[in-house]
Amino acid sequence: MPAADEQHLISRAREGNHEAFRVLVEHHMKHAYNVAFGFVGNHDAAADVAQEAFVRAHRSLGTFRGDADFGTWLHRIVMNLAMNRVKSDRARAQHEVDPQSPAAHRATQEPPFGQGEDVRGHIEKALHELPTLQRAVVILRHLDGLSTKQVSAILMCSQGTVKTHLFRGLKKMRVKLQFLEGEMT
Amino acid sequence: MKRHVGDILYEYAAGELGEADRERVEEHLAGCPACAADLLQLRAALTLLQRPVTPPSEERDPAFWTAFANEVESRILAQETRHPSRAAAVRDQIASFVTFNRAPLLAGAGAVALVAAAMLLFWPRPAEFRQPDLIVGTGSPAVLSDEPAQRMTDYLKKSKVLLIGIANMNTDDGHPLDLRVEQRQSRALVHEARYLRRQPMDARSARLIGDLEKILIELANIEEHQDVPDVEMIRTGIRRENLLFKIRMAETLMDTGEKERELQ
Repeated sequence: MPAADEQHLISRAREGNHEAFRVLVEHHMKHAYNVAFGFVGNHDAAADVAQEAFVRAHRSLGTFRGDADFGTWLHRIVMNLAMNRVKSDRARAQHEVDPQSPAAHRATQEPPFGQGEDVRGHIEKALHELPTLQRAVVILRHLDGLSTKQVSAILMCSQGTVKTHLFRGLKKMRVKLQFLEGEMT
Repeated sequence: MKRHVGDILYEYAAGELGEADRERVEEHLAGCPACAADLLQLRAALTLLQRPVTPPSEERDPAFWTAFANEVESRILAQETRHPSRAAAVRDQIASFVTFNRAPLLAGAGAVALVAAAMLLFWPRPAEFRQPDLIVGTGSPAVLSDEPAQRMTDYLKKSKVLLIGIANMNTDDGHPLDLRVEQRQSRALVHEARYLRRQPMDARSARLIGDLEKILIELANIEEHQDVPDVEMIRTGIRRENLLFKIRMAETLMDTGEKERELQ
């Protein structure tokens, strides 16, 4: 979508025009969903996080200055919500006291990603186990295909920092996934 | 040995380095087993990630995306219902206070009346009293003047947002719902309807206010921590009376009338 059209839609949405905001939602929803999925690893949670990100974006339209594009800004909101979601899910699983509860069962019996034993499932699991920033840069750069510059804009850090986290994150992933290399050749 | 090249090794592995830096890295790698091992690990990880992957969004069908956008819209409307602007919230608070806390208000009004009576008796009378401005125009009885028209517009808008919020409320889990905010807004709207009914207006608007009032009173009066069936009853009422459609029609007519008056 041309930047001028997007700006026009944002202005109308700020004035309370719901149709204008819906056009923005429809334009960005798949991308937001994919980013959320990269962090949370299941469809229902990805949909919930992405939808909530649009609600937060709508609520904060008044503070959106337009120095980054809407997509970058939304990306940041999705990422923050998704990381919080992962954090709270982990905390809940750790504090779960009833071993018979469905959540405890899921936390102990299943991998966090529902892809079973396939290669994609293993990659997503390895990603999920990275520290937050390393996970974020790997997802944004390699699964979403964003440039290092775009990732640095989303994370509000220098490109050098992005590259450092990429380097560390990818090294850790390789160690975790070394066993897959034979299967893939 | 020259310092390690870990800070640009990722760019080297990804093929993003300029020629001069690339040569520098290659020169370093030739004599540094640690960085060479890092490079191997990076390349292996990049190979894993470079497989063609179907984005998760492609696993969902078109109906999912329509429902997705609808859900975002519903959440926004529900949020606007729950958190109206600060000014509107203050107005609603005042309205509910006036409607439901009559005892302290009457006591206060009595005290003010006593002081006013004393002032009338003992204060020197001014030469002439100025008549207060009339709110409603004396022209066509079907046309609301500025303030009532604005209040009617606000009333319709708030009613619409409230009813959409109720219509879209998630009741699937069967748990009791907390509707205190919605009930407070209903009371404020019932109070506002009393003012509007005193203004001259066309029969269609009067009927709409009457229909809305029935649902709003029903909503205001249901028990605290009500069950889902109570909310379902209200939803049925909204659908039966086609209230959202009627509100939109009234808004369109008011908007059109406004524009016509501007053109005259």
